[in-house]
Amino acid sequence: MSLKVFYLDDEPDLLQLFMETFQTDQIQISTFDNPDYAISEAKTNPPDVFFIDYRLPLITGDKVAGKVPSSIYKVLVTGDLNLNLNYSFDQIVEKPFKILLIQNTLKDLLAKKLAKLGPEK
Amino acid sequence: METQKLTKLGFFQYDLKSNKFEASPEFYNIFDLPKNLRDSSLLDRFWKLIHPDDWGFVSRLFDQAIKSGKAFTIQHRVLADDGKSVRHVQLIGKAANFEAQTSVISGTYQDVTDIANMEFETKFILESMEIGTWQLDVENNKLTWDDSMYRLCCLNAEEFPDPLKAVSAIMPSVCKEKVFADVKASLKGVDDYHSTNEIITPNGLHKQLRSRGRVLKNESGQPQKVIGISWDCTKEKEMEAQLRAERAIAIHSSKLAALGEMSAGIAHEINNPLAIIAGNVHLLKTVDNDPIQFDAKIASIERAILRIEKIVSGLKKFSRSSGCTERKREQLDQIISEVLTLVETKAKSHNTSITTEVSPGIELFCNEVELEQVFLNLINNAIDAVKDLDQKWVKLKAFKNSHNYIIQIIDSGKGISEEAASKIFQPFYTTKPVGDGTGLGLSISKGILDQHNAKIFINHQMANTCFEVWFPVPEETESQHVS
Repeated sequence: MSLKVFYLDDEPDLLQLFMETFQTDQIQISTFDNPDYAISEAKTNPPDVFFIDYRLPLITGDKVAGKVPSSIYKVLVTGDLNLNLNYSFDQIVEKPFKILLIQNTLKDLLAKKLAKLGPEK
Repeated sequence: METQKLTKLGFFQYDLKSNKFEASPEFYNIFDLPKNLRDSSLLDRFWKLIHPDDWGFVSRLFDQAIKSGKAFTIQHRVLADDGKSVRHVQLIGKAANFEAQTSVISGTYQDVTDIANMEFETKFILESMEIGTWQLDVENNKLTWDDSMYRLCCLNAEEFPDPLKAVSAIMPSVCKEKVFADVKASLKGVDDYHSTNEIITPNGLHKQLRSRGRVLKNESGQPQKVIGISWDCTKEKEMEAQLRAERAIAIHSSKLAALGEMSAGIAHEINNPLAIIAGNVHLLKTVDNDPIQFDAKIASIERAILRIEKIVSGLKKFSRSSGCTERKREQLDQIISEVLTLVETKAKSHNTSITTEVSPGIELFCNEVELEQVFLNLINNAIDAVKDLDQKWVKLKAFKNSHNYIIQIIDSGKGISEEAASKIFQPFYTTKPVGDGTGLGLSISKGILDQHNAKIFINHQMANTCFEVWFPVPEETESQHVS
């Protein structure tokens, strides 16, 4: 039983850091630098939580969010100021992000997922 | 006879011994004398026509001419029969000597009333406009000033009969050297004399005197004299300085507006590497016993710091005060690279690709910061113009033709209407939605380019929207290329 996490960003160093920092036995992270591929994966194999960068090649994060299943918990990760978003995200995390904040988000979501499934047998 | 009439030129001859005075018909016409007058009666009547205020110097000059036997020229006034109307005449005469004694004076009289009136009007206009006139006799190194020149310099002609000494008294030595250098240059060259210099009047007033002069040459092409005018341009200079200051403020405001438009993107560009730094610092603690991982994290931090440094340095340069107008030789590709650093986030957020084709080695004599602003305005506008199109691209091309460096900013748009093109460089003209544009970017860009003797226009021959900036290639560079 684990939390399935996607992270889409065009910064390879950030993808690597995200993976190294938050990957645990209970948190399985997949990273993407290609928006089309991430959208396709999210449709066929939806994650529990999808971290999406705002400024991406040829598309913005809010447009990506609009193209993936609404059931996914979506977190916008952005270094921008005063965004005019066309999508209502579940959470917005500002860059440079606080590691503890993301860890807490992931823990909460994992706890909720576990609670939803009931006690393990 | 007809020629005499047309030129208003009358001949006369006066024999002193026989007291015989003869004159041509035009002479009678000029002085409006009855045709039947001859000899002494003609002479008496003629003397009476001379303006009473001019009798003294006319008599003196006649006496001198008789004694010297040299040719002489006199301009004096004559009265009409009514005793009121005044006309101006010019005499060119010569006394002829026989047996060491002057016996005959002959010469021509010309009615120069029209010329004299014109001179009077010109003098009146120049005096009203507080314009002084001067003349430099090159051969004798003698400077002559009119009354207005003395008034302009707040000097007394009696105290300074020699204007060259007056110049020394009121002009700081540096300016004096510059004046002499400018005069020398205009004597050698083909250009008119142009100079603006500071003077300090005896009552301590600082004035800027602007002068224009023309070199007059003799038949063999040697400079004979320089004639010119001077006027007080202190207020003009003050206004120029004020305009420069206001222009600098407008440029700075436009810069700040451009920075405001880009601030979201710039924040993203800085926050991304900051996130990398923060994340790596956090992980450093976990890999301190793994030298390879540790070094990789440090390298990642260093790369992120360099990215921030680059954007901050670009911003720092761009945000510099516009008061600095220093121009230097700058590499165009360097200027464009700095601009691209600033616009790439905006381009990225608008999904607009930017490509460049800049011929290497293009060097412009310019103010780097001002030119960065011009190209930033043009590229920003291009990105905005294509944001709703399916194809979104901007191309920058720079190359040299025979006499110009040409920089093209082409975007995927389909051109600009003739109507919009006619107004596009006017201040406050914008096609952007209210609040999105100041309408000052292009007019300020044009102003900056005008100052650089460069031109900006829309190339309507291209299939896509194309702004072109033309910089004249300096002559020395042209000749270097030719050789």
